[in-house]
Amino acid sequence: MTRFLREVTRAFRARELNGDPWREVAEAMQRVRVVVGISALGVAWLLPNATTTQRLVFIGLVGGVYLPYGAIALSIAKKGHPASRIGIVASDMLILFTFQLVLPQTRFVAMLGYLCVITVYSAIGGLPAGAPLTVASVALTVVAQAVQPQPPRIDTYTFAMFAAAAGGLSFLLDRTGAQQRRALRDLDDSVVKLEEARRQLEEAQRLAHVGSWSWDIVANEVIWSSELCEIFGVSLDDIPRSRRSFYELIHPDDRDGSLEAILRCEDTGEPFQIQHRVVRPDGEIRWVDARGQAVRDQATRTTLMMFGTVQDITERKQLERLRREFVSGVSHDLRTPLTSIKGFAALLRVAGSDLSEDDRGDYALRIERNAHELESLIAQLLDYSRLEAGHTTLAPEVLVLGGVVRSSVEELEPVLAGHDVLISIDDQITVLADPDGLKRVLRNLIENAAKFAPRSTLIWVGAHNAGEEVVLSVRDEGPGIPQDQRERVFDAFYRVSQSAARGTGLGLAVAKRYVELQGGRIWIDSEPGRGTMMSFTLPRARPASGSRAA
Amino acid sequence: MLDKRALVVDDEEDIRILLRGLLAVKGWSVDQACDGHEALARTATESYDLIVLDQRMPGLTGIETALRLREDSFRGPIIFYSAYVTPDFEESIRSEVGEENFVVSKTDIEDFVNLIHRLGDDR
Repeated sequence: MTRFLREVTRAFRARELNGDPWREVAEAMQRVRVVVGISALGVAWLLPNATTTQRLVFIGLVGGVYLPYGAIALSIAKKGHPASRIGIVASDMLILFTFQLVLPQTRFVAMLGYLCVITVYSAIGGLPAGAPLTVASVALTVVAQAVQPQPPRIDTYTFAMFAAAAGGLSFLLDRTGAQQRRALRDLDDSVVKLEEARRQLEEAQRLAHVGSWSWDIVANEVIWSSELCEIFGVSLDDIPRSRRSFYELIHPDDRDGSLEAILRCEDTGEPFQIQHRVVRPDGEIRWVDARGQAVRDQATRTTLMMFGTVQDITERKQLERLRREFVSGVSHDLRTPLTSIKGFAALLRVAGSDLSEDDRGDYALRIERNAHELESLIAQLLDYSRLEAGHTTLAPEVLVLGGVVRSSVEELEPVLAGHDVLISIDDQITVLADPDGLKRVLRNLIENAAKFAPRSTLIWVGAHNAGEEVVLSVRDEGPGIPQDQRERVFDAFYRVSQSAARGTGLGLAVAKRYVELQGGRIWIDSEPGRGTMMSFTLPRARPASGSRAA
Repeated sequence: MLDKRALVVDDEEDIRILLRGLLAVKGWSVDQACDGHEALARTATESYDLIVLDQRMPGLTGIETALRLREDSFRGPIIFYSAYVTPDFEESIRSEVGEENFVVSKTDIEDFVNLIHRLGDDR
């Protein structure tokens, strides 16, 4: 080692005597400023008699932008990895740090007449391969020297010392590099996981219609989740940042109650849960269930921040209202025919012998009709609950449509209340449908027509083939259905407003389910004051010997 | 016995026929009206000893019809015959229409029969 240092010092001095060694490099750099090449981490001893060209070639090999008194090597660094090279030029020694494998370079450098190059490799692709590669590199240099010996050689001892030091450095780099890479990878994974968790939370909020918020009172920072913005109908940029602008989004009738609950939470830390309406900027009103709690500073007894959730419960509220109306409607509808049945039975009992034959017959018929109505109401309720529970299975078969319609109309005779039913269906028309399901749909549509249209008006039932489908229509001369209610009549429990006729509000909902279960569609054509036509489709069947008229 | 005349007002045909039958057994002759307006039109030209009103009807409610009848100086008894007889309903009839009226639940036919029996005897 001492001998080596002496040699280097001597060479260095000799160069100094010969003039400024860096001038040569500086001159060369003026010609070539940027070099890109293969990289290695090397400690190279330039031979005292190395020429500028040789130095430049070496610099060129390792790549980068080199300045006379130092070098900055550039490399394209992959995301999550450190830049792969740094170079320092000091005196006759060029030190380069790199993290890539370039064994062939070692031999080339030796061929150029350099005394020795010891390359320190760091971990490659996360594998701790630096130390073995460095040993391989040193060995290669020795071989290269042997093949093409270049004087003066340094002694084996010094060489071994440097090789060992390089090996140690490689080992350290391996370790730190691997640790660093692992840490970066872990960080990367954490960021990915965090992003994934955030995405899942947003998705969950969207599905559950639950938004979340936080309000840092100290920093006056308000954060709303995307779903909360969606519920309130505001964009992320327009979220209310003051109490006043927030309260303006609450329905005026609910403002005081909400304000009181939120202020109490802020003052005392008592969590709140309130239901109120939100008036969105587009005018739409939504019902929400809002919950919140406070983070308190126990020492000063002040609230530092508040956070909470807001769930959109508009649908639930609508359903609750419909159910309330349904219960009151159903109990009325069940009671009405029951009242008639009980009444006429009582009348027959108390006055049976005094009544005329005609009256007795009429009263018996009325009992029968009301019992029929009661039965059909109960059937509808059961039907609906079965359909809702998914317990209805259909067994489609080939049916002659005209036959099914005629037998349904016959069964409905007692409730037709004087309406004439005109059936105009070609007997060639056959459908693929479940007989009971089809009858339910027909009954509901014809009963509806009879219920809503004035007495003695005509109900028309017709059908025609349309491609692979059959379109069946029931038309009445009733009051019609206003445009804005046409879609809603298919909702369970919905009744057309202003209509005096009774019903569970389930008939069309049940009909729609049956039609859809059989792969069809149902719709309304109506002109207020001029009647309604309800149509639905069924799969068309080619006439077969097995068809029946149910 | 003088023929007693009653007017039955209900939008449900079955109920009108039933009440007519029950009243007829007790010797009443009965006219029918489908709603409050028809009832007012009938009382303008005919005189009745009793009016039976349903509360829930399209157009005028039973109470609204009764108030108009009283304005038109109908002095006879009115029976409110409703599916929903609640204390609130009875109270509003007493305070708005007067003490002299009767309220009968549709679910209690016997009550109605007894009431018209009593009214028939009073006459």
